[in-house]
Amino acid sequence: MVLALGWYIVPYARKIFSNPAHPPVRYCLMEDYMPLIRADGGSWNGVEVMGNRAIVKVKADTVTLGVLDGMFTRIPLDDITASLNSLTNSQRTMIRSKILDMGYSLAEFNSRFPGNLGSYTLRDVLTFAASRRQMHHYDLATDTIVIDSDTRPCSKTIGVLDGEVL
Amino acid sequence: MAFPTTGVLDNFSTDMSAWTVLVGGASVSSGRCVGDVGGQNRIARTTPTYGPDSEAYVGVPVKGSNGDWFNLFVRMTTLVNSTFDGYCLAIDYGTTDSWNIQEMLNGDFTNLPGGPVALDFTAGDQIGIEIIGSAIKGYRNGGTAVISASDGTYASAGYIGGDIALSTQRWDDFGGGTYTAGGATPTPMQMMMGIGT
Repeated sequence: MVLALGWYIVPYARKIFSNPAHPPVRYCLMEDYMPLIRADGGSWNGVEVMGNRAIVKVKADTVTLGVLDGMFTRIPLDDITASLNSLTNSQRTMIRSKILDMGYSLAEFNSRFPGNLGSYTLRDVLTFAASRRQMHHYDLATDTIVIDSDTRPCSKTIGVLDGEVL
Repeated sequence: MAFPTTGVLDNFSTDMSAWTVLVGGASVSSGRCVGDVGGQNRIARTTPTYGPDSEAYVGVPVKGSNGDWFNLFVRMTTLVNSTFDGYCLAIDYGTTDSWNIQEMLNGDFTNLPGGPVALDFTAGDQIGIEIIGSAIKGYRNGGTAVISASDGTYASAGYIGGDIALSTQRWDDFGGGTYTAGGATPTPMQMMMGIGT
């Protein structure tokens, strides 16, 4: 078994309970893979970001990471100090596209990252992605979890998250 | 680290006058707390706020059935169901009970990384939640934490409470309050002398 690290962008979903009276619960879909990760002796942690998604860091066997690669978007770097210069253009474009999909504007992205994205580190882009998250609430009338447009700060920094999974 | 560090607040010997009902209701029956309705019963201690480092715990002499649930809250920001934030220890009863620690936002719950932990508890056990700084832990009968998570969203003192879901399970000896460093509940004499308070 070879444990390795991986960074992922993972959506939230609503957990379904057998008792219809149970209040709704949101959860990060990485939770579904907790048994695999635990069986490896690994761990995961994450921080909620924009777009009802989380940035997640996982430590698990490479086989398990391969399973996760098929389910979620993996950032093709493992070390947050690594430069995006080592990535291909299409990989850098993919990262930008995924961050814009979260709800950040192109103008905001370009303002933070003028010039070539290759001159920045993984920490830079993940920190930008984790600069805020959306409010949400449960609407009893429609029995739905509503993701609001209002935002609030994220619960932890990328540096803290990085240190939680080593 | 010892858990709990605070004393019992309510042994449910009289009534629920010290509690605010957010959803459903709860009553005292034969010296225990029981939910009033066959769905959600959400209650919280009306005063005071505790913490920010705080804990809440309760004995569960009668568990719910599979599909029922149990929640304990700390750092509740309000006593209104549609607006309260804070943290929750959530246990879903099943073939094996499933534990999670959750962030609560406007009464909407989100699992924090760290769970679920599959662990049955037995009727008569004491279940508790503790938050110190941004570290949140869940306990069964004190001892080593069953589950832990970290979150820095809500840092202020808050109310404590929980969900006694459905009308089958029973609570007894609800306790909690501001976490007491050193892990020991002050004796009445120590409190009179200002030691450990």
